[in-house]
Amino acid sequence: MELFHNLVFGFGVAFSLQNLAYCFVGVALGTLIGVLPGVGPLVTIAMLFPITFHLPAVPAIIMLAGIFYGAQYGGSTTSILVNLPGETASAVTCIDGYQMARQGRAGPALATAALASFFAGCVGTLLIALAGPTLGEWALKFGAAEYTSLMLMALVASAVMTQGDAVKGLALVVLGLLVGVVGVDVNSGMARYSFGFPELVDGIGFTVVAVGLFAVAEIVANLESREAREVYAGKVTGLMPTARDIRDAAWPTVRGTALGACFGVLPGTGPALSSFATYMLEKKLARDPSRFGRGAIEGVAAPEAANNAAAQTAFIPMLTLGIPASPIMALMLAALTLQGIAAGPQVMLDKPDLFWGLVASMWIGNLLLVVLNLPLVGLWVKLLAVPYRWLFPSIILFCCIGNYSVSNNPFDLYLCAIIGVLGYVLVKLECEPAPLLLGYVLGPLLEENLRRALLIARGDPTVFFTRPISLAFMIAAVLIFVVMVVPARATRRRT
Amino acid sequence: MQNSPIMRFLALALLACAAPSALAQAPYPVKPIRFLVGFPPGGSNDIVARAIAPKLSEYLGQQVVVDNRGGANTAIATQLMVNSPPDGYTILMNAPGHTTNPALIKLGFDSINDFAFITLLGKAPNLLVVHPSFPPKSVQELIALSKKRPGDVNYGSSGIGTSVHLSAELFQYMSGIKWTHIAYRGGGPGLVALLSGEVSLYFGNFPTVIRQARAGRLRALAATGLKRSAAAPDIPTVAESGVPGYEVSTWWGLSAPAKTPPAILARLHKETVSALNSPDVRSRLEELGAEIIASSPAQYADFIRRDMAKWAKVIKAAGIKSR
Repeated sequence: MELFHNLVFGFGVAFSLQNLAYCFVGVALGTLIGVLPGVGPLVTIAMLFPITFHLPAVPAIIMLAGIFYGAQYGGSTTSILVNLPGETASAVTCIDGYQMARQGRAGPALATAALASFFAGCVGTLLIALAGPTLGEWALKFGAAEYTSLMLMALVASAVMTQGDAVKGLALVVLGLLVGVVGVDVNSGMARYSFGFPELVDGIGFTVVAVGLFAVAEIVANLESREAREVYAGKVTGLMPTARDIRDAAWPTVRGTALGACFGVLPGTGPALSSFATYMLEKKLARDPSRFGRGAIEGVAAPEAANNAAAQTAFIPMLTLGIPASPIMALMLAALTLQGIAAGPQVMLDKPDLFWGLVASMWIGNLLLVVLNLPLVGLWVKLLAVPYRWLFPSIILFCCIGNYSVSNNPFDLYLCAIIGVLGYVLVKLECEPAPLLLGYVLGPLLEENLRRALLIARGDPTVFFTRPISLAFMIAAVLIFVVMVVPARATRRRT
Repeated sequence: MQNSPIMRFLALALLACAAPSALAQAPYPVKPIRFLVGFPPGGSNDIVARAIAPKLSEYLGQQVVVDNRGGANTAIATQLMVNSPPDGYTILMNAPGHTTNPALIKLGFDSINDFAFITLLGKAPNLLVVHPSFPPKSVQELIALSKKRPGDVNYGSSGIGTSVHLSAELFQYMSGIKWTHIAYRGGGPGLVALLSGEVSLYFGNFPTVIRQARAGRLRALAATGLKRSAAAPDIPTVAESGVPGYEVSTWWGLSAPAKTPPAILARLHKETVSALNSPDVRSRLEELGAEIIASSPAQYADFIRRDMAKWAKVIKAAGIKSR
């Protein structure tokens, strides 16, 4: 009952005209920057940061939060329409979302993404209200050993993602691993594969890799054949999802939300990993996995739900423990600090208006986002009618702006072009870029945590099996492996 | 012919071309100034720069634009400034990476001679914090325990060569003990590891860890400044608790390319010091646990030289390889 009182109180705070206005500004801005590739929430929040000095704490944090989760909504738009991941977490949405657009189903894909995000946003918000502090403490149970086992499990499961040729898939994961380890090794401080370029010392950015592999490669491949790029608008079949679409997307949305909410709480994993994980899960659960990569609506709903759920629950460690788990949360924490508010276990008691107002505003923000995004679907789909010879230079331009804005470094543009060439070669070899991206994300995390866990255990490998959470992941990894390998061998024997 | 519109236009154009030399006498600055920051938005460097920039803009009568060029612990932004013309239109925020990088990575510039140091803006101590379950209650007890069990204590850091890491290396170097270093990617994960007890010990940046210490989730043993911090006068310094002379600070300073005209440097120094004295900037820096220094250019250059020599020694003794 106390929760109910608190929520009512929170809505009272959030529904003041001022707070509503800032919430709207935040989510609208978030959608916009989510649509623009590379212009991420981090840069936007940093630019608006000084403005918040002159605002009271509650509207300031409501606006900044709106930008962050609003960007997760907008990020899917360009992924679906033009294979250009607008946000880190929406790279996975490219895989099936773009295929849906090619089949004239851009409308349902966009609407599904928005609705799945809304559902996930509501659940995520409720989770913060219900179990924020408990979940925060739970996140602290994850040490290096747990992360190692989790990554290992994810890597094993990633074999499911590869389509057709397993050898190709494995090769791509390994290639991704190699791209991922570029830069300074955390444990020794030595630069690896940096070839003397100081720009490579901090590694290759996610935006550079994702935009190069998906958008640039796609454009090059499209331009190759003259009549290619059939104008999709010609065969757009309905803007809204059909009843069947909704039925197909319902459970994946729920599962994506659950998984995303868990990943969001864990510092250092974040939305990107959660959307990969749910995608793999859905593909494994699907009756016909071959539909994935060819425009399966589950492949849009699940990752979109996951990344939005993760975006909400990522606030938990920041609000309840005062831990900045990502650069964006560090910025939010700084904004709170400059307002004289110490985020931490006491914030719920000391500043109930801030905590409950923010929680309520998140729900309102999610609602605003759906209201904002659904009518836009028709507009976005019309964009596809633009002749490709005009569309592609603008996409390339946005790729460049986005990549440049991440670190204001022209080097990233050259790198993106080179990765675009690599992506084109992959298209020619009929290789999927997704496993490469996954290797890129998981590889460095796995290596880092494995070495850290062993360093802490003074070289004793049993640490992965004596800690309960870690053991659970290890068992799961073995199970996934068995489930995958056994049927394959059985069929081979029969033939 | 002489008075044709084209000729008149050409004459005007010529005059316009000649104008810059005539305007050379015009007071600096005549165009916006680029303020390079070696970290992405959000960190303390960015916060300090964005607090100072509006005041500087006001006093100089030109926009001072913050330009975040993160990477290689400030080396990328620094290289960019060194390559810029020494005309006062590019300035740089220096950070501890400036004095530690020379011993850690190969740089395309000379960390002393390629710079005109303007002022040391301020300093903030780090805080030696431990997990509440870790027995030592003081620096003395910590040293005693570490001597008894060499290599047994795990300390976390936000990465090799960061001030969090080097604070611990200096501590071991000066007190003759040995810990095991567990590196994390950034301050956030490093702090999480300490809160969960994965590591026992951490030299955190002041504003981040003081809250946790106040909430009782961490125990603060000592601050790394030479004097006690005004923001936490109850916490002793490392130097007064058994490691005399120990000092590490996170600091922020302002520099321009070498060969920038002295008049321009003097103007920048004067306006920056005024900016530092404004209540806005002052409160922003105090939130970061910082003490405002506003040193003279000579004092700042001297600080850089001493700091560089100190870290070269510590990094060598700690066996951290340069790359």
